[in-house]
Amino acid sequence: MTAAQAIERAAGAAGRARYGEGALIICDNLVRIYKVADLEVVALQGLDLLVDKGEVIAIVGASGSGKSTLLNILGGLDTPSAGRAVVAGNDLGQMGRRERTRYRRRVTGIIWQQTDRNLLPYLTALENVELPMILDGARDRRRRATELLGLVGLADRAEHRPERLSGGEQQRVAIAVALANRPKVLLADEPTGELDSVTSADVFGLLRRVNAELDVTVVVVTHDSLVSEQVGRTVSIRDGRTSTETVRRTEQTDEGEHRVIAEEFAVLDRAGRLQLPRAHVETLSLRDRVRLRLEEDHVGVWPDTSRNGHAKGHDAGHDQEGSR
Amino acid sequence: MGGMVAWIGLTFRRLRDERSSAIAFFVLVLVSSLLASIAPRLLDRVADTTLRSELLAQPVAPRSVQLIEEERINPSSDDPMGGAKDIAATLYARLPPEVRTVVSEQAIVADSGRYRVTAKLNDPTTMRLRIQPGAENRIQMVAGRMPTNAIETDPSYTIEVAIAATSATALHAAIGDTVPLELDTSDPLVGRSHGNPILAKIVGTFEVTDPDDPWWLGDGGLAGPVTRQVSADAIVIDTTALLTPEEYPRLLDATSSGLAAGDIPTPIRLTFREYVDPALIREADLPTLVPALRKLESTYPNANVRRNGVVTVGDQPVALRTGLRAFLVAHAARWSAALKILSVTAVGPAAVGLAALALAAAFAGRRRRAALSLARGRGASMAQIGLAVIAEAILVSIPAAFVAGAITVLLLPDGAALGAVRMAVLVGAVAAVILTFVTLPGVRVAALGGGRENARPLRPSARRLVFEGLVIVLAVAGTVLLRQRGVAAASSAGSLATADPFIAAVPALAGLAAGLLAVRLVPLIVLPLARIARAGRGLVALLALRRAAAGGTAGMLLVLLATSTIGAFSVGAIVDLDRAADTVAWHQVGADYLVSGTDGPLLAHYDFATVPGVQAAATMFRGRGSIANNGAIPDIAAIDLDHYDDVTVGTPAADLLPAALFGPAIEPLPVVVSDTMAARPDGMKVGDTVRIRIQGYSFDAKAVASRPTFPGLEDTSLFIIVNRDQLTALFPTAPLQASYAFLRAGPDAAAGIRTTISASMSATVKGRAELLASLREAPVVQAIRLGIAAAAIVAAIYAALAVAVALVLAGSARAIELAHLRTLGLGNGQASGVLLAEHLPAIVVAFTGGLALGVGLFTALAPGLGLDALVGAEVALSPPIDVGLLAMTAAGLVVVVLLGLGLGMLVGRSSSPVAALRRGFE
Repeated sequence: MTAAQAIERAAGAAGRARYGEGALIICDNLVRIYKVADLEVVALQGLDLLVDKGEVIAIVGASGSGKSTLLNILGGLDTPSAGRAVVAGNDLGQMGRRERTRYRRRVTGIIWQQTDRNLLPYLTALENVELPMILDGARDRRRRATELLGLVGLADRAEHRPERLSGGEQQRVAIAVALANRPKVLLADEPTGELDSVTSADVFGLLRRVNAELDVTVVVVTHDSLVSEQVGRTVSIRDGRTSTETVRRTEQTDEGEHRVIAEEFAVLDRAGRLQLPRAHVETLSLRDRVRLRLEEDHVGVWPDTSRNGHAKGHDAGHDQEGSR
Repeated sequence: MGGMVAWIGLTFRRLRDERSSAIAFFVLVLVSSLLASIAPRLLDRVADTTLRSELLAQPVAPRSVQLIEEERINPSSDDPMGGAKDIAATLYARLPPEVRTVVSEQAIVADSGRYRVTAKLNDPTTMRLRIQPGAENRIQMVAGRMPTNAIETDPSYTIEVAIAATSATALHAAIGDTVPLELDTSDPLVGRSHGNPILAKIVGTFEVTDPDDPWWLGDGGLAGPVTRQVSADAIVIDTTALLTPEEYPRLLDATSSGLAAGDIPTPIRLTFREYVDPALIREADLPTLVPALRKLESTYPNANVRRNGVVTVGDQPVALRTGLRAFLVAHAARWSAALKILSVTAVGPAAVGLAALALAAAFAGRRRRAALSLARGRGASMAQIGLAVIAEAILVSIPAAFVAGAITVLLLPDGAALGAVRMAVLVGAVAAVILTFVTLPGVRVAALGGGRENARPLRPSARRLVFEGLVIVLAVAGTVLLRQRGVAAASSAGSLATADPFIAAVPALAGLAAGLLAVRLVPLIVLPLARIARAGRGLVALLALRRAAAGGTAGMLLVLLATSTIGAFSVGAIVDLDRAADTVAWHQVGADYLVSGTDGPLLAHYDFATVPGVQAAATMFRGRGSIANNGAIPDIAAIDLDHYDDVTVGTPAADLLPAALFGPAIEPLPVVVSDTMAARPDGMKVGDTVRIRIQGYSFDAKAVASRPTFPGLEDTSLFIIVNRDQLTALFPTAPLQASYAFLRAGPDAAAGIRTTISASMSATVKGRAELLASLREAPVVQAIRLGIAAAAIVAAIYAALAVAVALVLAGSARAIELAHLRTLGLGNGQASGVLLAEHLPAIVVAFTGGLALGVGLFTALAPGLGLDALVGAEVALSPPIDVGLLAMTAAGLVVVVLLGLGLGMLVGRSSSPVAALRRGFE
């Protein structure tokens, strides 16, 4: 490359917008590797994710897919091994310990699945809500804590300790605790995992209300299909990367009825990689390598019959000349 | 600031819920602080008691101060003894203030020169005339009255006297009789002075109410006649007659009248007695009292009385008689040695206490981590977390320390209260630091749900292994050093050595090293057992052993191991002390009783076997000899071996002399030499044949054995022991008069033996049983025994507390686990069984390893501790192993641990499984 070409390329790069600019949560090629004794576990393998302000999204995935790791990173509880994670302008890979502490206080609020990780058993509901404000040195804690408990519908249970609250009530108090310092993002790790369907609906409804009334972005990690079906966007993580996104929109039919349309998209990362849905891969026995063909408005993907024999259900007669 | 206070206030709420761990730690800190603050005061009290007991055990006279002036002090008009009293006051004022502080009473004794009784009596008899104000309150008149100054004009200078009834019997005199007296020029007080004969008119006889009253200072002159041996077969009966103070002018006149010009009248010996009260002397005062006594000794000559014509205190050579400084210096050396031993034994319980605190802190800290991690996740900074941890540690520890300090001051009010509280608070602060440092590192922001990064590697890190190896190496090195060098560090001659703190800590270091090894070994033992349990059907064994194999009992193992080690070590030390005392008693006396002449040889041809209570008797001659062509001048001891055999048969003393000494008198005669003799280049080694000369007789001798010492020869390191019968056979005319007699008799014969022998000769009788009792009951030895036992008891208390705390906290921490098991059908008994069986391997390893380590440590360290030397053993004895006592100690420890287990399980049972499940919080 000549010097002139290098200058031209740099100028061009400066002109293009940076990945995710404008989004509240930016995960750019996020990698997290754990070292346990002599073993290395790659929990995140270059995950890309963008979340806009005010969204309510669900993150789904099988056990071990990396979703809890992602949540821990976004919550400031863990640091990425590589890549970039930015939440509300805070680059999580560049923060020192003090900045991280401040971040956990003021930028995010976390709700865990188990009560014992949300609430201190020896404090009342009101005191649990006050705790983050005390840590932040906020004034007027009592009034705000009372307000938040009122928001979650537990103003009359303020003096109760967690053992005297039901599971749903404990989770609602946990939401109030997470909102104590006016965070920009609420992160919830299976918040309804231990609740029945009615209570789950109540809790999730509260999260949506918090999103709508307080303009707090909500990211929910869940297995619960009832939850994932109620959000505008569901991101599926597989093997440490985002694999698909399901976007839902409401449409009015000709008869005037409202129906929800869910469209599933495979996520294409910046390197041009995408993950094919497992069902598709298994149906066509796609393995090792596939043949691609660029059509006018799509890219076709065929199994490699030269190795695997005839593929099922598609034109096996296409060859390289035909694809051109 | 308000936020910080609120934050700390919230974290304290936890203590309401988790009272068990807080109370357990509070109790441990309270006990530890109490022990730490009470120990120095107790030690001071023991030191003072020991010092006073030793002082009281000493003869009264040497422990007091006597200033002696031999002068004729003129009487004053209003008080016959006024002049003497003035001198007494002046001398008292000149005593160093430190000495005056310990003087409780003063007295004056005025003695005339000694007079011979010229009346015809069975034995030569003397009389000394004495004025002793205060004596009249300590005697009881038997007949007659106290003397007065009534006789004034009798030209023969008759003086009224009162004497002891027994003295009157010895004088064959009765009330009203007059005893003729002539000055005894052999009395050093008389010297070259002059005096005419006088008459002592007996007007009363008395009995001394309590001859052992310390007021008499051991001077039994007034109590009755005293037999004085002047030669091998001659004795003199000394009596003392009592005059009243008003007779002092008469005494002066009587001892000076009728003298020619130029004749020096006999001086009056004025003894100014300063009674030292042991109760006024404290161990802490010795650093100032001893130099003050040394100054006193440098001011006055040592009872080297000289006569002088000038009569002012400032000009008179006042002589000093006291053994107080020498005793205090010897006591200080003994106590210093005892302190070194006690410092070694104290390190053990201190280490166990620290381990117990660390164990409780580890449990308490572990239970805190989840809550602190939650707070960290909510945005608490490490500073806030640290502050909360420190605040809680202080809240739990410091009040306990203050309570302990207050209890100490209440129980032992002597001493500065501030010191006790300070010591208690120091321990409380250490406990708070331990709790803080154990809790804080575990609080990190990990993946709270996963714990992938929290997985503990199964193998210890290289750094950990290096550290543990270093501890083991240091322990081994320290053990070797302590054995070789002893507890005291090197010191300059004449100064008291200080304990080397590293060497004093060796037993604790060795215990720690053994503990680290045991922690590594226990899983190796438990894993095979766990595999066996898995093959079986027992749920309790399976759960318990799987749990034990995973670790978690290391803390309790270390505490129990240390306690068992201390217990076995203490048993070894106490048994060693007893055995050493027994051996020393046999070696110093050589028989049941040892008779030795005080003024020379024993009475010639006296048959000791005829003394009532004596079953057998043997004599020993001792005299200075020489070796031809050799510079050594040893003491030659000739023992009546055949009779000595009868005296010692069946006793430990029977082995003191080899059988080779027996046999016909054929030169070279077999002899036993001292170890020092054998070691000297100019001495006599075993196997050497030399020519020995004694009392003008020479004989060839061959050394057949050597000994470090022998009864009656403790004051010399150069001696040769020979069979007296063989010598007598070679030299029938050699005098070889006995200096010692060995007697075989029961302990109840002591009084009769002493009475019989003291009536016949001037001799002392040393009883082995009495010596053994005095060695065992010697205050310093008792203090060490008490200290060693206290160390073992304290360690046992800590062990019980540690076991109870470990079970309570482990049980509470595992309440959820057990609650889940109970939902599956685990019974209460099985739940207790799981807890018990989980800790059983650690308990077994701790006991067996600890007892073995304790015995081994004591065996290795005994020569360096110097316990044997404390009771007077010349050589280190091989450490004993009293299996019976060890078994009892082990049983005691088992009881202690079972108590702790029972307490722990009792508390653990009280937690409700439902509440634990609902709480869902560890």
